[in-house]
Amino acid sequence: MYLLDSQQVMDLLSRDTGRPVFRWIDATKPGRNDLFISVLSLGQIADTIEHMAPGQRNHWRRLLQEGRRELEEAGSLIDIDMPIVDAWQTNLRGDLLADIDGAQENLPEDDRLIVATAIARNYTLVTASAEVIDKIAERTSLTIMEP
Amino acid sequence: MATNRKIADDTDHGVTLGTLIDRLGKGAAEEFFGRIDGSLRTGEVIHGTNVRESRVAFSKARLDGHAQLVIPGRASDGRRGAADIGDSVVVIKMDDLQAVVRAGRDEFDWGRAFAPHSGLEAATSGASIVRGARGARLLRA
Repeated sequence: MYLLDSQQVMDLLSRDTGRPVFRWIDATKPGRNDLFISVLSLGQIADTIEHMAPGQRNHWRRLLQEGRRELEEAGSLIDIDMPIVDAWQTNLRGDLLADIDGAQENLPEDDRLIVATAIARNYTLVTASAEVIDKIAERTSLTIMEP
Repeated sequence: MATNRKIADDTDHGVTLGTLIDRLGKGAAEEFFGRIDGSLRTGEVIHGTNVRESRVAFSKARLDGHAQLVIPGRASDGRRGAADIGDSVVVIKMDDLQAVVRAGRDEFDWGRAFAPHSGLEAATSGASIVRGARGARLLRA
């Protein structure tokens, strides 16, 4: 089972099949019930879209709307529930962040909740290489895969 | 798009593989079609049984590949039964059902589901998630 991080979700919703996430899907061939997305990612993407230029923004609103419908039909959206909050509170919240020195500013709380989702559900987080994520994986049960 | 469509034509002559594909998807429909009792299908058409016939053939349905499509209300002379395929009942061995479910599951392709299509082109410019140290405030006790 896999959880896409927000950038991978955005690349999926872009429908630009040249992006790395599409190559990863082609190679991994996850089934309908193997791939998940946090509702927080949709919120982050909606926020990103609102910062775009008007022409691009309108296109992306449609991409998000259609993509959200596809994800809902596939049953792939994950809400934030108590086990996820527990994983976040125990290891990742605020200056805890897996005891990584100076990491508090490196990863926003919404991204940490997405990491906590992967930990709580025991899913592999599909994410581009980032030092702070690598360190969290070294210190917790998080497993990661680069697209 | 024939999902939920009436099958008045089908019930007179059987349920077509095309109708099943509309309902179940290609992989699952073909697997299911192949697991219907051979005497109950001709070419690409399934001949539904009625409740009485399905009872008689129940022991046969316990064997692999002898599933039945039971159309409630259908008379034994083949007159029209239920108006919608959704009202029909399937008598199927669990091993057959497992094969059908797996065939349907394997069919889903994330790449195809999120490919561009007419009316929704791919984004042409790269877009990166807006990030910031949000939510870092502390609550007052």
